[in-house]
Amino acid sequence: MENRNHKPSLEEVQSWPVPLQQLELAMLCDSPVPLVAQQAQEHLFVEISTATPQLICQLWEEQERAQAVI
Amino acid sequence: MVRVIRDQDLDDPTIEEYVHFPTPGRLAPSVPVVAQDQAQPVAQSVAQAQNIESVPVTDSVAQGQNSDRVPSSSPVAQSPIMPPVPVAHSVAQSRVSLVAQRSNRRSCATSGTLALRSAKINNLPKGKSHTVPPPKIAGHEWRQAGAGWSLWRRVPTISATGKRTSERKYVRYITQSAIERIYNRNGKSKPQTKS
Repeated sequence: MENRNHKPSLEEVQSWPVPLQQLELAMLCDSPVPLVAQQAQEHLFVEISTATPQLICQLWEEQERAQAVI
Repeated sequence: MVRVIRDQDLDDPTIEEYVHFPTPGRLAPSVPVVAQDQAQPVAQSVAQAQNIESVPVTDSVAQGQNSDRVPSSSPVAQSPIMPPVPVAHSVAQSRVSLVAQRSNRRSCATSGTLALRSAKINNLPKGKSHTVPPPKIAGHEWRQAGAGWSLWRRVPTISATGKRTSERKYVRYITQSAIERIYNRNGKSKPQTKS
């Protein structure tokens, strides 16, 4: 069984149902990168609708960038 | 009610008097015993209290008629001395209590089944009722995976034998903490955000 998540593309995130997009954002709150976790937490508790797919992809990119630097 | 004892009553009774004696169990030990001169006012006060007409017993006893010592029609033999015991009522009460005990036993015996039913109604996984289930998503299904849940998308297909089936395609893995965070977001607790 596959349990590890990969970085999703924008098209993939846009095809997801809204509850899954919010759950993905909640997953990013547990990111090992503190800045990503803080941004995800701030956005999760604000009303979000259409900005969610873009925001998720942006946070994923920031996370990968930070991990690459480390 | 009131029994009067005279000096001649204390003598040894004859056989005829034994016949008229009440049986030992008929007289309760709480029968008030008064002297002959006090019998009339006490009887009147008791009769007034119980709304009974004038009692003829004391008159006959005062005249010394031993044959009327315990007349069958007098209120003394009728029953305030020995009140009837409500046997049927007590039996009914005991039956009611037995039925209540049995119903309690039945409810205790089915409590385990009820707990399972409530778990099914709440869509809680077996044995892990403390974990919060993820929200339902149409066309998808959640499977427990480790400490979290994995989301699978159902894809309806037709098998080689022509049967309708559905394939599952893996979508995403979500941790339990993320699910709880979503529920807390929709509920009460919100973390502090920057102003």
